[in-house]
Amino acid sequence: MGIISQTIRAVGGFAIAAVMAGPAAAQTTTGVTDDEILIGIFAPLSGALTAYGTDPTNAARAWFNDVNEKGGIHGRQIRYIVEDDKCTPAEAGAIARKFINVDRVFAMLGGSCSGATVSIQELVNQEQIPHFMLNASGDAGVYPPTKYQFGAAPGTQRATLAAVMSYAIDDLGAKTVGVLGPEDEMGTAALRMIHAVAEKRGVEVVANEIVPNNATDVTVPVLNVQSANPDVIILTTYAPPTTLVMKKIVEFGLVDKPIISAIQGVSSTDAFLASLDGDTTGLKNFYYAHPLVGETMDDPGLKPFKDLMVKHFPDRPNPGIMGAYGFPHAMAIVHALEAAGPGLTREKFMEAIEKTNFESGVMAAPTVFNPERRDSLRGQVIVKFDGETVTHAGGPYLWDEIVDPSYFD
Amino acid sequence: MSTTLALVIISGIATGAIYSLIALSIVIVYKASDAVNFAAGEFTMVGAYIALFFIVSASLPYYLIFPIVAAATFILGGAFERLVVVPITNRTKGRENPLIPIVIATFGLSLMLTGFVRVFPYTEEVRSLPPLIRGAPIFVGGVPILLTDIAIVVVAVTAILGFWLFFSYTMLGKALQASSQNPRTAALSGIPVAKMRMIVWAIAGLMAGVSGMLVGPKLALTPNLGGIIMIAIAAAVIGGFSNLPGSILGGFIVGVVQNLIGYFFGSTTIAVAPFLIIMVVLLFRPQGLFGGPVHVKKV
Repeated sequence: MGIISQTIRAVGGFAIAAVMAGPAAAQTTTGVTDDEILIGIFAPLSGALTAYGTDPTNAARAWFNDVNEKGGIHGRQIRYIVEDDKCTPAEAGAIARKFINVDRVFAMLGGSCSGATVSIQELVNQEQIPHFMLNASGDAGVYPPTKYQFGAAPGTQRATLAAVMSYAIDDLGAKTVGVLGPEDEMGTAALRMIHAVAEKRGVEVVANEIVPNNATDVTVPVLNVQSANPDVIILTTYAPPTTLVMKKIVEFGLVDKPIISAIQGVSSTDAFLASLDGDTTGLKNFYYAHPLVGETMDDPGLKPFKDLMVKHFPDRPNPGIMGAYGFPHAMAIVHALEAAGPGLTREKFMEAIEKTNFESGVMAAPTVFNPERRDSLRGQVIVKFDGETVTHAGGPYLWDEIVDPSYFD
Repeated sequence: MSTTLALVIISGIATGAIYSLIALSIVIVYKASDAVNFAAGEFTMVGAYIALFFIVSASLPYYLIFPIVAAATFILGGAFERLVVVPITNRTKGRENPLIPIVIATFGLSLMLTGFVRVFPYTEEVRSLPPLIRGAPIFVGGVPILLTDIAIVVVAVTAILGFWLFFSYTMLGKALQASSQNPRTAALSGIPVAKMRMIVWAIAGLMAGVSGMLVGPKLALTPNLGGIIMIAIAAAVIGGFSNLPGSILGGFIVGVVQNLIGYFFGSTTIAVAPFLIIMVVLLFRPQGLFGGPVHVKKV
C-alpha cells in the first residue's frame, strides 16, 4: 500500500471518528439520543396548590412543543415527562429520584413551591443533573448558588423588596417605612433586603410587625404600624394575611398611607379584589411589585404567549397570569441546548447555560445565568392598582444595582 | 385606657365571640360522646364557603343564607354521627380505648371536608365574606367600633343564649343534657339516647357552621380555615372542656388575651399566645378555670 493511500485512509478514519464523536458523546450523556432530549417536568397538578402548577407547566410544555414543531434543536425533539409533586418535599424528592434513576432525564424543570424545590438541591448537585425551578422563587434555592440548581423565574425576595424599597424612597419620598410580614424564611429574606436598602439610603424601618400565615386577628400589628406612623407601609405577607391586613387598614382609616405589597400578596388583581369582597376603599394608594411585562395574559406583551398556551392546551382557554412564569426557564433550557451544539453533552450544556442572557419577552427584566448566578430574574416593576386599573408606576429595578451582592455574604 | 388598647380589646372580643361558638361546638360533642371533634374547624370552613357560594352566585342576603348554612351543617353533623360514629361505636364496643377510632375519624373528616371544598369554585384563591352590616363605625368614648364587630358579637351571643335556653327549658334540650350526663339513666327514663347523640353532633355542626358565617367577614377565607380549631380548643381548655359557660368565656378570654399579649409583648408573641394560655392553664389549673375537680380517666 502506498504512502498516499495510507494517508487517505488515516485522514478518512479521523474524519469518520470526528463525525461520530458528536453522537458518541451524546450517547454517554443520560437523557440524550440522536433524535431526542428527555426533560422531566414536575409541579403541583392536584391538591390545594394546583393553581400554582397547571398553567406554568402548560407554558413550559407549549414552549417545548413549539420548538419541536419548528424542527427541534439540532435535529433532536424535546420529549418531556410530567409528574405531580403536590408541592410537598417528599413527592418532589421521589419524583426527582425517579427522573434521575429510572427515566434518566437530561435535565429537570419543575417546582412551584420553594420548600419542595429547595429540598432536592442536594440530590441534583450530587447527581449532577441540572434542575430549573418552574415558578418557585425561594431565596434559599439560589443564595448561595449551587452548580446544578437554577431558580427564581419570578424573582426572589431580594428582587421584590429592592423594587419596593426603591419605589418607596425615590417616588414616594419615604424617609420611614413600616413592615408587616411573616417570620418565616420568605419574610426573613424580605426583611434583610428592606434593611439593606434602608441602610444604604438612610431610611428608617420604624415598625417591623409579624403577621403569621395563619393569623386570625391582625389588630395589634396594624395598630403598631399605625402608631409608628411610617411614610410608607410595606407588606411582605402572603395572600391570606394580606387580605386581613388590608381590611384592618380600611378599618383603622390608614387608606391615605401608601401601601406597597410584595409579589406574594397579590397573585392576581381579580383574586385580590375578590378577597377584599370587592371593596376598593383600601386601594386609594396601593402598589405592588410585579415581575412581568403585562398584568393579564391578554395584555399586548403577554397575548402571544397566551395564544401559544391555548393553541397547545385548548382545554384551558383562559390561562392565569401565573402561567407566564413557566416560560423563561423553558426558554433558557432551549437557548442552552441550541448553544451547546449538535454534540450535546451535559458539560457543554452547563457551559452554555452559564452564558444565558436574553430577554424573554415575558418578564420585566432579562433572564440571566452565569457562573456566580443562579437567580435568573433580578428585576421587578412596581404597579399601582386602584381596584379597576393597573398602571405601571416604576422600574424595572435590578436588585444587584441597588445593593451590592456582597452585602449578603 | 388608651384608644389603641381599647381597639385591641374590642377586636379581641369580636374574634373571641367566634372562638366561643366553635369551642361550644367542641364541648357539647365531648360531653355527649367523650370524643373531641377535630373536624369542628372544618365545619366552620364549610359554613363560610356555603355562605360565600350563595352570596356570590345568588346574591342572597345574610338572613336567607343563615338558615341554609344552619340546615346544611346540621345535616352534615348528624350524618357524620349516623354514618361514621355509630358504626365505629358498635364495632369497638367492649374493646380497649373505644374513643380513639372516633377521634381519628374526626381527623379523617377534617381532611375530607378540606379536600371536598377544593372541588368547588371560589376555593382556588383567598376570599372573604362581606360585612354582616355595612356602615360607619360607632364611636364610644372616642373609640371607633365597627358595626360588623357589633353584629358578630350580637349574633354569637344570641346564638349562645338560644342554645342555653334550648338546653335548659325545652324537653328535647333537657333530654339531650340527660343523655350527655348519664346515658344509662336517661335510657332507663325512656330517652332515645342514640337519637340524642345524633342531635348533639348535628347541633355541634350547626354551631360551627354558623361561626363560619361570622368568621368569614373577619378572616381570610381559604380551605385551610379549619386550623382555627386550635384556638377554639384553647378556649375549651380554659373553660374546663366539659363546662359550657366556661368554654364561652374561654373563647372571649383567648380572643382578648391573645391581642393583649401581642400588644404588650410584640406581634411575634400573638401566634404562640393560645398555646401559652393552654400551657399556663394546664399547669396551674388542669381542670380549666371553670371546670370541676379533676378525674383520672383511662383512655
